[in-house]
Amino acid sequence: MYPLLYQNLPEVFSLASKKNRRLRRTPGRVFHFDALLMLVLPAVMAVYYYGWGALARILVCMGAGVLCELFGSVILRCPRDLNDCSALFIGLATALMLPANIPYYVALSGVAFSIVVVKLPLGGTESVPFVPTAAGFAFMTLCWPEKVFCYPVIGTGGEYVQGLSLAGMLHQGTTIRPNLVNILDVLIGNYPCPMGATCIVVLLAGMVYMGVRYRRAILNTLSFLLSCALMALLFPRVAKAGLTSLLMEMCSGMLIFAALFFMTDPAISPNKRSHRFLYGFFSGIVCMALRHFSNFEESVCFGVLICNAVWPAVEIRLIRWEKKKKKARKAAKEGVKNA
Amino acid sequence: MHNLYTLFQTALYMIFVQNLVFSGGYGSSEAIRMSTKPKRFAVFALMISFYSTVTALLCRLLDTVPQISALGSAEHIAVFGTVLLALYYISVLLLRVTVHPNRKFFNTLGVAALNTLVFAVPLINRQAGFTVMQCIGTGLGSGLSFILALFLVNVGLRRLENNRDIPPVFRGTPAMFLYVAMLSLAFSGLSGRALFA
Amino acid sequence: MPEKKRAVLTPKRIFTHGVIVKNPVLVQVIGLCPAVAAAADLLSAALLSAVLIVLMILCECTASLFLKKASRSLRVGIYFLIGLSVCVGCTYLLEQNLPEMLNLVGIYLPLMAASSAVALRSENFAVKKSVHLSFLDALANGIGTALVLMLCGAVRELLGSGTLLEQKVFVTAPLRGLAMPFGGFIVLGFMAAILKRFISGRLTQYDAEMAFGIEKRKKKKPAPPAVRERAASVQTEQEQVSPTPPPAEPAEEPTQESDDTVESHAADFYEQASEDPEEDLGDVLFDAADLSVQEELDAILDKIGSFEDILAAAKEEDNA
Repeated sequence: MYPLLYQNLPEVFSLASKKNRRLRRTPGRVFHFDALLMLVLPAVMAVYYYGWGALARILVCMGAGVLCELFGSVILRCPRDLNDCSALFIGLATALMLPANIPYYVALSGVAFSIVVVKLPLGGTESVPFVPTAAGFAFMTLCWPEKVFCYPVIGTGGEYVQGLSLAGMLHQGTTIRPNLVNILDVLIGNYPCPMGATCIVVLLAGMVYMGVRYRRAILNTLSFLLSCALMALLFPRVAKAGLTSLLMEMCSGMLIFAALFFMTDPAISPNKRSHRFLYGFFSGIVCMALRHFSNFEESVCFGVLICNAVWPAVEIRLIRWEKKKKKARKAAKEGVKNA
Repeated sequence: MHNLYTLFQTALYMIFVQNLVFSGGYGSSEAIRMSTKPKRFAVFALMISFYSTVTALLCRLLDTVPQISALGSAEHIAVFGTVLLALYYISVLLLRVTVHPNRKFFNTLGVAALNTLVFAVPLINRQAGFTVMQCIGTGLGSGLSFILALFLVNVGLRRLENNRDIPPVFRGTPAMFLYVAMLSLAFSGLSGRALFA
Repeated sequence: MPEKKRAVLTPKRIFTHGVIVKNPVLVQVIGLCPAVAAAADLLSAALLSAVLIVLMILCECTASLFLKKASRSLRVGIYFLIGLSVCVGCTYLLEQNLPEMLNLVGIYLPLMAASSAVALRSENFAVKKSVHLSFLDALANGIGTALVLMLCGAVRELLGSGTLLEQKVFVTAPLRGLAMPFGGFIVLGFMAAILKRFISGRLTQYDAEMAFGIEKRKKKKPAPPAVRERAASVQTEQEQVSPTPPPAEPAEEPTQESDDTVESHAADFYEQASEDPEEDLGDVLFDAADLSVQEELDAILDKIGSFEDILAAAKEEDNA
């Protein structure tokens, strides 16, 4: 049973050529094409900030995604569908989650893990139980934590001087002083951080696009961000609570990136609106809790994987409870009618 | 109050941060096999929790005896193993005499008592140098971590059964192993890369 | 109903089953702890494999020779005791002679005493078979587990650090995450997929062995009223035709079956249960008794023959 979102889509772009129009427009196929479009602007900003090295890594990762899908499906005897753009999306998203000076083998291993170990054997784009990109990033974090969180300072060109990210500051408990820091710098990403999570403004624009195209899926994103914001206000990691904590937590690491691209994955996302809201809210709490207790400065991906594992059990119980309520309401109505 | 806090802190640490099943592999075959039998969850989970807690406590108390704490690693293993075995046989005898459960119950009891998870708890406690309260916490926590593992693997198996898109070569145990690998990967985010450092 | 032919247990069959078809780690999913956590390099995998083979042989032979009449609760404790003796002995020897090897395996060596692979194979096979067959089964399963452990250790060591037996093989970006338990599960998953591909290609009759899912109990479906009436009327006619007592008892009394059809079903369950580590004889009988009422009625009808034959026999007797 596919989520209802794809039935309400406006036909903005035609995905398939005339020859392939007979191909089914499945939710995964449509979503990953749109997600790829949404990642174009962050990629442009990454190249603008970090230079040709960033572009090289982006292109290499996207190429690796396609090759892994091709060869992986042949070797593992899995069905292959390059038209659904998921391989390109995984490559691009993986590159944008990493620092601009990441060694190529780290990024390539992350892409290969996402596709060959997670996506292809466990059901493909439409029914994989975990977000492949999140799993790939988690794998890279465990193998090379010192490389994955080593962010260069913006504008240092080919030298790549290491800087301290907002997430790193939060992990250490260091606060930024609002009177010494330009909030605009934080919003446009003039801080060391992952390539694609650099420019918050661009990601927010992507959120608007998502809201227009997927009116239901955006619920996941918004509820996720709402719960993250609440957790940031109620349990700050820095001395200065309130807006400083909120700003730092929301703009640090890959929180908004994950909210936009991981929470809305149609293979895992629930169907009903109320369930979508609860799923996003629950995931936000788990991710923020992990930020407090994890050894790594950025652990949103681990939180996403835990939610992917736990949410189906919660949803089954929710559905059963709703059915019971419905039956009880029906019985009460019939009792009133008979009376 | 402080002791209670230590106990709960250690238990929570064992459930989430150092989940023995996912982060250490202890008792993973029992967890995976038992997750296919949802009707026996509650009983099995209670048994595991009981044995891990009581064994951890008894072994830690024995370690306070100077003659036993002076023994080497091999002797410690022998002592802890004997304690576990004695606890198992005593519980079997008591149950036979008082409650008279059926044969299935005793089969489950054997698997719950004598497995790698329960036997690992006192060894880990000794390695980490935990206090008595912390040992009780690890015992409780490992039992609860096993229950969590049972639950998560059961949910995963249901999803994999209903997933028709899994390629034929991966259906069954291969997909199950990869699913448990993802669970282990997710829990590794809490433990980082150090286990009982 | 035709009698099911039981397969003869030849050494070749035992080895094929133990190493490939019913591999303890990849198919039966037992003994995962050393494979997942400890076998992060070839040396520790080899050491644990050697200990496991010795343990399996000792436990299965002991079970076959001395423990056939003992209760299961007593037997599992004795397996643990044997395992403890072997592991404590090995730990002591390594502590004295090779302490760096002991550091390599850590607490996973003593944990082999509680290995589920040893206990379950002894319970499912050794207590029902002769010493000779138990020895072969222990060897086969031990070799099957050892192959998996060592392959897993070799792959993880090669990809994790580019070394094999601590000798540099090639320069590679080390995938250090493979040394963690999730790396072990991933390697086991792909090994299981390769084994499944091999079995599907060469040993197709064992294709279903690697199915792994949640147990589903057969639900008792009530027979339709027409069938129940027919059975009742046939039974009363049978009583009138011949003085022999009615054949079967209802399915709710599990241990008293005398019906051949139910017994042949039970025989199938015996064979299944002998490979299912968690089930015991009590469970087997319980499962046999869980046959649906419909099958019971069909069994009765098969035994007493078709209605036409009975009516014809009754008419003949009346005419006579």
